[in-house]
Amino acid sequence: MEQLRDEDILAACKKGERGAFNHLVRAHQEGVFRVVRRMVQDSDDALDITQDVFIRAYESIDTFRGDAKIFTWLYKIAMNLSLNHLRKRKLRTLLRLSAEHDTLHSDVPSPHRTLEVHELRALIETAIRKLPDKQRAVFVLRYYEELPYEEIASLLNTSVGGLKANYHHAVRKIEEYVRHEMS
Amino acid sequence: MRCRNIKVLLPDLAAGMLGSNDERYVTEHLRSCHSCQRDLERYTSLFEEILPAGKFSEDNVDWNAFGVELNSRIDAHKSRRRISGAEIYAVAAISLLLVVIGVSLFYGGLMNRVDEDSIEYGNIDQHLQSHEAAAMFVENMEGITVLDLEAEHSGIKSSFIDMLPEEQTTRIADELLLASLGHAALLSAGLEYLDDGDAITLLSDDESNVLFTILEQQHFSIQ
Repeated sequence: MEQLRDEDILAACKKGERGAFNHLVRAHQEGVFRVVRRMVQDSDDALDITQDVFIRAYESIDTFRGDAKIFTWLYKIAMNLSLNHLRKRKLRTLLRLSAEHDTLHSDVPSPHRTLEVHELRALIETAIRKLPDKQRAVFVLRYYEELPYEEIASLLNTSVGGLKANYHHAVRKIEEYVRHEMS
Repeated sequence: MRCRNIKVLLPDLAAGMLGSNDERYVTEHLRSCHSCQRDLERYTSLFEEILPAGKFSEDNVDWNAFGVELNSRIDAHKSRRRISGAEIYAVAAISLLLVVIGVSLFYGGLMNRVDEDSIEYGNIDQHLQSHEAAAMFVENMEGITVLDLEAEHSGIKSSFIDMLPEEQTTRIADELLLASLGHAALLSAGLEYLDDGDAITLLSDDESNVLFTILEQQHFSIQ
């Protein structure tokens, strides 16, 4: 099964072979989780969303024509679900109902001291969380996933030029935030 | 090339992800542009000294348990009763009929209240801008609505009806969300429930988008 190509896995999945689908899940679960985790910055939420990604994939695999790579298709579902999750979370924040996602604020280190790795990580996560959704998505896909702009453009239904501008804005904001917090 | 065109390429140059053609243009520009040089130094510092700390995840995921739960959820999905096209149309027709009846009943009831209270209401949307009126509206739609105002919480609850496909329920949800969001007290009451029931999570993507759009239109400050 390890030697199967995407097309073979896809064909087997469309025939309803659960083993093939499980193979697809195992091959992509960590990548999907990683990108979702970067987007929503909460492990539990990310795991739930990752499950939803594969359930949605299972439900719609008949409609997937194989024009794109499987992982591109899965990432697209993952980004859509992540962005929807962020939107819902914004609603909750807007409505002042939940403080559970704001706990990272307390992890921001005090100025004028050397940062431990976990503090630096918290600082970076806070900086990323402050980005607008689209810039966050572009940053995650470009920096962490190292995807080419063309692929990101396909995932987010946008232009390469716009993506480069978004990525630049994201990096500039993260740099400014980190520098400000560390000064 | 202008600075503006160069600056968007600097993050990729700093991260070592810039193509060789672009890199040549950028390098040439950098020789004579101090502003871009400064930006590149800052980005290089960010990519080399700061961001690598965030590349390592501490998450320990039990992927075996993940797989078991996922298969269990897929089985649950599969075992769900499939609805035929004819059934969907039948349910849609009945739903529409019940909505019309519900709105009629509500409208009639409200008119009585209008008489009693001597309040003039202009249209159905205005009628719905009170908790009581919205609750009555929902009561009349019992069994088909995706939203249910619970007396206990005086709030909004997403209670999806399995038999109805999402696209049909979304329209009804839109109307009710519009109605309830038009009234601050009702919205506030709804939020109390949301705090408890986390109803936003239960809303479908389309419904949350509608809610989000409405809130934006109403000039709520969204972070």
